[in-house]
Amino acid sequence: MRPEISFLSPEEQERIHQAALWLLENVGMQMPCPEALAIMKKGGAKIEDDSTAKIPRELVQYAVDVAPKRDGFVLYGRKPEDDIHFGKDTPVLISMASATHVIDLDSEERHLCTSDDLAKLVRLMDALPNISAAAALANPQEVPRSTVNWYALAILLKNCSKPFIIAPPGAGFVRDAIKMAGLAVGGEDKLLERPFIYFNVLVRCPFQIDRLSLEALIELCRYGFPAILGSGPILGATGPATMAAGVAQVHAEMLAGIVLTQLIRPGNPVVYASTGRIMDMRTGNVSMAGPEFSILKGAAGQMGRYLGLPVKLPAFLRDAKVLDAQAGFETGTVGLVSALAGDIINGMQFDMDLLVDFADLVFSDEAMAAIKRIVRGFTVDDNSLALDVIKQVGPGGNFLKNKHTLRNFRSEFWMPRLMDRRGWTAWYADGHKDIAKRARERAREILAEHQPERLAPEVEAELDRMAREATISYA
Amino acid sequence: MSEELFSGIQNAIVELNEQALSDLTGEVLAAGVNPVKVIEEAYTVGIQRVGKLFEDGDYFLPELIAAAEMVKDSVDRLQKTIPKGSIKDKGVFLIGTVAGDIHDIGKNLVATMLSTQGIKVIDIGVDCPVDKFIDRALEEEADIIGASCLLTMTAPEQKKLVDRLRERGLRDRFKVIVGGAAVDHTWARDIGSDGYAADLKEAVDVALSMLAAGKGQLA
Ligand code: B12
Repeated sequence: MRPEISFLSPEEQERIHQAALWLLENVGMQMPCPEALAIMKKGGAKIEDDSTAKIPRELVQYAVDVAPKRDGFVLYGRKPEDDIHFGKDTPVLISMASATHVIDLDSEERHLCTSDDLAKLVRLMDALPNISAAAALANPQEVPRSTVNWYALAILLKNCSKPFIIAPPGAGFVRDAIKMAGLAVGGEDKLLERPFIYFNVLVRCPFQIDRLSLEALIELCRYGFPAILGSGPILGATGPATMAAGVAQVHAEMLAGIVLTQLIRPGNPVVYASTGRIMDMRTGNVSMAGPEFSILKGAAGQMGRYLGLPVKLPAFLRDAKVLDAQAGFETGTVGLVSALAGDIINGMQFDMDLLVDFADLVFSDEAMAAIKRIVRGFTVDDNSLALDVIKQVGPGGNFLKNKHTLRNFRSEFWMPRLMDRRGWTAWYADGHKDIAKRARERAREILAEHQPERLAPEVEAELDRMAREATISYA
Repeated sequence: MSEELFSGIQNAIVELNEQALSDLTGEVLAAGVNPVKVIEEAYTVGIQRVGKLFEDGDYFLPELIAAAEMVKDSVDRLQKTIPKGSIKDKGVFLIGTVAGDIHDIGKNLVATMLSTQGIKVIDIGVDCPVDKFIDRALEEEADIIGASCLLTMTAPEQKKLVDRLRERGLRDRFKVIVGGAAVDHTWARDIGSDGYAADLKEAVDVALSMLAAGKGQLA
């Protein structure tokens, strides 16, 4: 069987769900956007103070019923071979977005991310087999800052053909992003058939969604694009300090988002995503890799599955600043719990979402491969029990020469590429490099070899023009 | 008597004993002890002891904030008995998040920390256009304007704030401090801000030293 992880018994899941329904009826969701409120009202929510939608449980049930379920859910890639089929291909690792700094591949110093850095990061993600979808992992800081998202999108489209996740600052960006992604596949109609860009929309905990996010959500659902809805209360700051309440809050906020998406367009795909985390009470920083982070991921994953929805959980976000032992521990613990509880896990950043390292992409690719192996579990049948083989080899025998080993070891054993399993002598003679060093070397090699599929030069020029001419207004 | 009372107040603060502190404040009022002296020698010392425990890693943010709130309640009660202006704030710090940005956790923490330091803090909320910063700063007679920004996309708003102050002929009237994850020292210097802080400790240090310097010039 496939291993699973549970922090909540079935009764506890039910209790959390009921708590969430109570919260939606009694606290409600503040939506400072007249259009969103009108949609909620028409659907049966009660609007209070011209700002807050109190959502009755029947409406929640309707939305959960019509939302597409996890089985059969597909996130399309630009090419069919990059499609992600939930259940079959998952768990998969995808990229987080919008850090500000990178660790230089040569000097190993931290500096502001440039367009060239982002292009390289994206090319690395294009090449690494266990990174299934890309994003603007770090934003270029030398371009006009107010329209940085457009520049980042152009770089993504030019350097990678995997699916992408993007965070939309408002409806105008959604429209432009669809135009730009449409160019890459020869037309908006082609894009709509197989949408390969996914918009991430976040709740502003507790119990608000901001106007730009609401406008973006309405726009993207009208087009029929999947919405990745995320709620990440910071326990002790934007959520209560107890895990149970944090999970109930996440669940309620997700349900509110699901209601809105299903009212805009019944059957629009939604992904249940949760970033629940704690405030570090020494610094006020947000901890996204400690033990509570694992607990909150595991429990939120269960609540997403309780609804039958696809689940996304950020996991490879590390409180560590560099690829060191702390980073390794954080990647392993949170990564494993999240992969057991969710379908998509994302991350690959350090320092509270602000820093990325080329070497870490190679490391994360390897860590994900190992985690996938764990989550795959094993089967128990005649072949795998191998009773006749054991009998044939007999006490004191050796299995290395046996055909059963030859036939099975590749599927049963995971073969590391980066983790070192040699002895001290061989490792020492080969330069005694730690994993960060080996990963950095590999990143350099990949960047020297790998060429992404380029778009036609006139398409690339048009993408650059759209980025340059983009405008944004918050008014 | 008053020595015992003073150490009792300090201990109640350190122990976060709200009821005891409230009772002791009642005793101060009943005994007619000089409020300015008690504030300086009991309440301020108590909160400083909590501050030290926080710095040493023995106390955490919720404890620091609870102590500050308790002290504020008591000091408010005492202040009602003395003429306005007997106890001076170290200065007025106006703080908000720039237009287009709704991140407010860091801004709120900075506001709370500054107010534990005897600075009057005016929090104008999130998504604030530059003229809102400036108009409110004039209204509140602020010494410092603090602008928080976590999004690269909205960082130009901080520059706009400095430029707009200049346009309105008010650049020398207020000090400007910027902060937030999207910006750093270099950015702060390039846009002509007077200060920058990367974390809570720096925020307090920069604000206090700026206020001290400002007062020095006036004297
Ligand atoms: C929590 C969070 C949110 C919450 C905010 C909740 C809230 N009420 O604030 C939610 C989910 C709503 C959110 C939304 C978004 N977010 Co956000 N968010 C964060 C996160 C993870 C933590 C921020 C935080 O609270 N940190 C803890 C506090 C204590 O730290 P701080 O704010 O930096 O403040 C400290 C110092 O900077 C300084 N300071 C701060 N302000 C000031 C001001 C003064 C005057 C002084 C002296 C000092 C000072 O002192 C503080 C104490 O140490 C950051 C990551 C990060 N590292 O910043 C991303 C981050 C800031 N968000 C980001 C993004 C992209 C977004 C969204 C666009 C995503 C989306 N899909 O919609 C939206 C934007 C919404 C908007 N219009 O503003 C990016 C920004 C990237 C960039 N540089 O452009 C970040 C860096 C994450 C990432 N890599 O993607 N976010």
